[in-house]
Amino acid sequence: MKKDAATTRSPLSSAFPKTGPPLHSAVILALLLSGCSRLLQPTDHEKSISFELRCMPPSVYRGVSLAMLDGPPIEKSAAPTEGFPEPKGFSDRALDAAYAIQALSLLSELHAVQQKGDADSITLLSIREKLIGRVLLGIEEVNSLAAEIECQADRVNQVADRLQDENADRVRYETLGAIVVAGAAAVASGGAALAGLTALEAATAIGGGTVAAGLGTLALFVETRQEYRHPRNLLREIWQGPRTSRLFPPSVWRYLTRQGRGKLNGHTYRTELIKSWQQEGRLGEPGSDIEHKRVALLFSDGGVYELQDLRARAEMLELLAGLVKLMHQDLEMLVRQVLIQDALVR
Amino acid sequence: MPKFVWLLLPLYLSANGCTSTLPPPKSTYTFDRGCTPREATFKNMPFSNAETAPSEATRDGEAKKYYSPIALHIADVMQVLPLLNRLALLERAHEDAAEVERVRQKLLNMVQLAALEVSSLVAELECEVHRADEVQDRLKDIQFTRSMSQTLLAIVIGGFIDAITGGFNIATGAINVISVTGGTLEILFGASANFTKVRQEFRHPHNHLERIWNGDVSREYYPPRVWRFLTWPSSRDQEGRSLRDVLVATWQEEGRLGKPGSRREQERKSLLFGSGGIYDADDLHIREAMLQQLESIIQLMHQDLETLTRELLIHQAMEEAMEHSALPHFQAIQRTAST
Repeated sequence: MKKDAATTRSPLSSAFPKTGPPLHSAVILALLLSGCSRLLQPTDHEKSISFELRCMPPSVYRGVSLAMLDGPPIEKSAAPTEGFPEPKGFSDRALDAAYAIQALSLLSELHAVQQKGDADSITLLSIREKLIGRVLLGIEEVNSLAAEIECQADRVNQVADRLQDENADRVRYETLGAIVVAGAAAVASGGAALAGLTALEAATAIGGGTVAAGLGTLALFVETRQEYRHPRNLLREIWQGPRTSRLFPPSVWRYLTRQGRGKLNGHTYRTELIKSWQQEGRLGEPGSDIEHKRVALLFSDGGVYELQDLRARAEMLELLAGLVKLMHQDLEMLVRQVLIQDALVR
Repeated sequence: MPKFVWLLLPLYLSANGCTSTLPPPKSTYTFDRGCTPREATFKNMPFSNAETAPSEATRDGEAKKYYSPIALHIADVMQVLPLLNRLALLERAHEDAAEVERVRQKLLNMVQLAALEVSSLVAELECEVHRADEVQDRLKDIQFTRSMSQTLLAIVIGGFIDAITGGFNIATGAINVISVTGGTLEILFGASANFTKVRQEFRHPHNHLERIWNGDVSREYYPPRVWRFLTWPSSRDQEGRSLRDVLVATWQEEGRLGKPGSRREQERKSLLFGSGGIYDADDLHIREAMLQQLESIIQLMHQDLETLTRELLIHQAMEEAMEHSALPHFQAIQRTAST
């Protein structure tokens, strides 16, 4: 049974006698529209703002500066370190931590009292207690912010998981469809050839191949999207870098936005974080359309997210949480050095 | 011989190609023991008489006038409300400065202990997450390799058949038989590649999810302070539900456990909230996500502890400001606090 071109072409029209061009176009259009991109409705859980509220800290009296409460002059509080003698005997990292929790003046006082040689005085005890209290507050501010960031990352991952499940299901069924159609076409075409129906053989081979190729290609371009809101946007605060932050505890914000003493070569943790987001491609290729789209989406109040955008957001939040937790190291350094100095004086 | 092969092939694909159970590596069990805390003897010992279940009278005590509702709530959760009331009384009386300092220090120590309890529990949960993650990675790798080789096989067979039937352009009875069987094989391999599942036994006798799901208090799993934080009505929820209730509702709403009332839901529940069983990569991913959600609500306790610490320190500093009779300074602080 030799196939010739004339016989393979003509049966196509007889194989699908009732499917005119409008139907073909409609099928292709429907597949393209529903097959490649789909906007999922947010779940009831997502619609409510209750989840957002749960992540949010109570923020009671966060604006109160303890350095300001420590005593006059009030002007000192505007810039707690400037014009104040630098405490002696502490490493740069310990001083960074002390600056963040506004304890530089306490360190200086502690140093001065220790120099007087009265290691057991009430004043010394009181300063030390105050300092430890300030460190404890700093630790809890870090933990509390990290809890909020991780809570938000968790929320993003929940939505991302949902989109991924949808995507995976559709890819699986479209790929399966392509394989089944291709296989069935091969079986039918072989069967038709065995029965001597050359025209049908050619029609099933071509038709099956086209549908299988179409389904297989669709699976490559599947994209499910969902609206996702985040009015309390910690990433935007990092991106914009205001002088004082509405969302971060003041101590952590001071830590993130102050130029480190030598270790960061004139950069701040905030700028380093933005650089690492860019270098790791979280925002897409520099100057690309994806970058413009992501910057507008990630640092706004929210919008329609694709799976990759959500994963990028979750990763960025996790990087931020990791960076915030680094403050623990400097606080540890500070406590360690205070205890060492204390032991030396005794 | 060929008939024998045809009989074996579907058997192989249905038994091995779609689902198979791997023997668990030794580390699955040893790692679990590494996650649980070492010493539990002193965990539940109360520190003083002050740490007792509060009455309504203690909830309406002196502290209510001077501390925020968040600070009062977390003190109540930590069962140190009587101590906070005492501190508020002493602060108002301005008499015994040493006693004020002693009580305040005691409260700060309790805050520190609660913060460590939260961190320690979160570390344990994180360890459990990593344990599930390791097994999940292993299953995914094997699943991916199998699925890839089956897809590849389907493609190769498809191409090979096309080459024989079309490429050589020979049409004989034998070639057509090859085309039919080739197509059948392509379907078998291609379809099974999509449904390949690798499973493994995974045990978790110390199961935090089970306690949360059942809602029964267990000191062995959750420190009492953390348990109260999770199970008492929370201001974080608009309807005033507890964080535990919200979490359980979230799991059900998200469909993590499968369709409500379905057999899948029953199976998942007995797997996730039992002491372990045969897991596939998807089940492990769900367990991991649920543990992470639990971790994240437990960590929220830090936010309330931060509030209580801040208020204790503000009161301490304000007292000193009053002592130094720095009235303008004190007024400036009050202005800041009110904004």
